[in-house]
Amino acid sequence: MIRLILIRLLTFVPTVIVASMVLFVAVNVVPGSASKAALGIYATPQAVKRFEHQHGLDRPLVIQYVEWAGKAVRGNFGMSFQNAVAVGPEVKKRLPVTLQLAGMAFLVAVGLAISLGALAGFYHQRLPDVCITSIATLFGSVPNFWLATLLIYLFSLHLGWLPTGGYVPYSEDLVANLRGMILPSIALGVVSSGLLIRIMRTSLIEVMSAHFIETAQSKGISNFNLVIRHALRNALIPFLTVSAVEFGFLVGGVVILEDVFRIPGIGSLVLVGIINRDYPVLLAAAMVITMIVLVTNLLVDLLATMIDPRQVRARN
Amino acid sequence: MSIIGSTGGDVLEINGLSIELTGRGKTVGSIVHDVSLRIGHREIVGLIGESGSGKTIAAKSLIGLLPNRIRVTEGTAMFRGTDLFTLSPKAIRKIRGKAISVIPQDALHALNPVHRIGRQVGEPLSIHTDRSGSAIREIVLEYLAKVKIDNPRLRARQYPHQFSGGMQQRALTAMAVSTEPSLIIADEPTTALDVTIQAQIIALLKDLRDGTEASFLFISHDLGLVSTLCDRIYVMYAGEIVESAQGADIFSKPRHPYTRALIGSVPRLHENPDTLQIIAGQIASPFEHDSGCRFRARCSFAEDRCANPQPMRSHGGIHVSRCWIED
Ligand SMILES: Nc1ncnc2c1ncn2[C@@H]1O[C@H](COP(=O)(O)OP(=O)(O)OP(=O)(O)O)[C@@H](O)[C@H]1O
Ligand code: SF4
Ligand SMILES: [Mg+2]
Repeated sequence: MIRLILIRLLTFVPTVIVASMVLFVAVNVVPGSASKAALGIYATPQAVKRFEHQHGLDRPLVIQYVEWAGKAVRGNFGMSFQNAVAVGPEVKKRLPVTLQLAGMAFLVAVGLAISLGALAGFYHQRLPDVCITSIATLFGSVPNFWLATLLIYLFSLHLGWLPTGGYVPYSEDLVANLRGMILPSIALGVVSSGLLIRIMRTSLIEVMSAHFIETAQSKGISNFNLVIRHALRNALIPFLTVSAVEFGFLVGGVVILEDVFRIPGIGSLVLVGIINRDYPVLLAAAMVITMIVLVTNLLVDLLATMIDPRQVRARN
Repeated sequence: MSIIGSTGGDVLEINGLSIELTGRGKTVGSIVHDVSLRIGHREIVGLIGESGSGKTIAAKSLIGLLPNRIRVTEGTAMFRGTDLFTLSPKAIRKIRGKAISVIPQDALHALNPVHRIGRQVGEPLSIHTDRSGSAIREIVLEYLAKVKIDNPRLRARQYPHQFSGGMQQRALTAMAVSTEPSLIIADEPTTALDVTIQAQIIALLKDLRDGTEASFLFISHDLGLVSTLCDRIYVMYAGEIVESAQGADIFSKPRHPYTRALIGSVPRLHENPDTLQIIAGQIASPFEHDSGCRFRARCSFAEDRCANPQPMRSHGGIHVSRCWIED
């Protein structure tokens, strides 16, 4: 088990390095100039040169990357081009907000997927399956911001049950915090659940045709316990791997929904970074989001291997 | 019918069982037809026939586990005074795994890979009794020892992939006997295993028979294997019982052409394998049966009258066969 974790961790480090390189190059090749964004489009060529020199933008990309990465591992993400504020502390302040949103949305997605997917799989080709499969297709095809708008219209403007947006730290007022997070989590989670419901359904159908299910039935087990004890856990193994991938897409949605719901998280920082061509801000925010996705993938991967005793043993 | 070979009343008595495959509410094929079979107290009864002859389906019908679209259309199965076919799903579930247990066909895939052996073996007890977890664990260890699994305490904590095929079949056997059932259905319990392991499992079942009150329905396509183990044997062909007799008689005095062909295809020691007969042709599919003898397309004795339902012939005692020709 410990060896297994070590192997995963060892492959994790190179993954992070490669991801950061790709990110760095991507940010630097996006059209639009940081200097123009910071100085305004009427800036003189001399001013632009001075700006680029001052921020090291005139040096080779490799050097820039090494310098940025060296500082970044120590939590130093430089200063914002726009207002000369240190980026690191700003990211740190916003991280819990995004983690909470992504976590809650993921719970919504996985919760919907496991319950509805298992139900559809158990009633394969019967009425509940047909209904749930159609719902899943619908969920998977609505854009998250559209669903968010719909939810705001319905639950905030029309019914007045929940706030239209904004953010209250949970340390201040937990209830207000959760009330603010409900709609964005649902909007994000429901959209992600579309694919996951279908994965869970397929996975359960496959397990239900396994020979050991018949053995369990011949013991006189009830249908409910059959699914809970014998089918679900086996079906979760392939499901978890896919859900980790889906989590990546979900976090992508965070960027947009933080803006829709005016939530001061990392996602809105990404938008600010892009609009202002503020490289340090954009890099830091995007890197943190990448890390969230990678770490979640790692954890889910470990969890999936842990619930499959064949793998735990095989690598020991 | 006499009750030779039985030491008490019948545990199970199946009469006129027919099972059909249905599609859109209509019958589209006959899988089991007019099967009557009885199992006495502590008897081991063999049910043999080629692959696809309907042995598993017949057995599953007893515990209410028929696949979709397959239904019992006629017949009764009296088990300790009640007809199993009239029971509600809930009532049959109470019998399944407790009074009637199953040793499944494919030992290597019959256990759930993500649960420990001990938990799986103890599951029928936890479903059907309200014994505590620790009491069940003790019983499980006792039964694992009974099926000759060494170091049960350690083995109970392991997972199926850490067990060999023979060991998995032993664990499944322990599971089947642990609830002290009246009837154990062993569906080809050795086919997935090596020959030497097969012999060990058969020896184990013989052992267990002497130590329990249970009767066995032993399903196999291996006549040689079954004849040494069973008190009585039913030979099934394409869903019909074509011959039944006491274990030894089937082998020494087979009457039905199919049984004879089957014995001809059993390899025996010191026999030249070149003279081994294999029954030519294939078993007819459930969709092709008419009211005549289902074996006639492959039978070397077939005559015109074989297109009509065959008469039942008695050969003394409980030995009967269904065929038009007399010796
Ligand atoms: N789920 C199913 N759906 C439709 N037909 C089935 C199904 N299961 C079995 N059958 C049909 O029922 C017939 C009897 O099958 P069964 O499994 O009882 O044979 P068997 O005698 O147990 O054979 P084997 O020795 O291979 O286990 C076969 O013709 C088979 O095609
Ligand atoms: S009834 Fe006719 S076809 Fe059938 S087994 Fe007897 S002889 Fe052969
Ligand atoms: Mg079978």
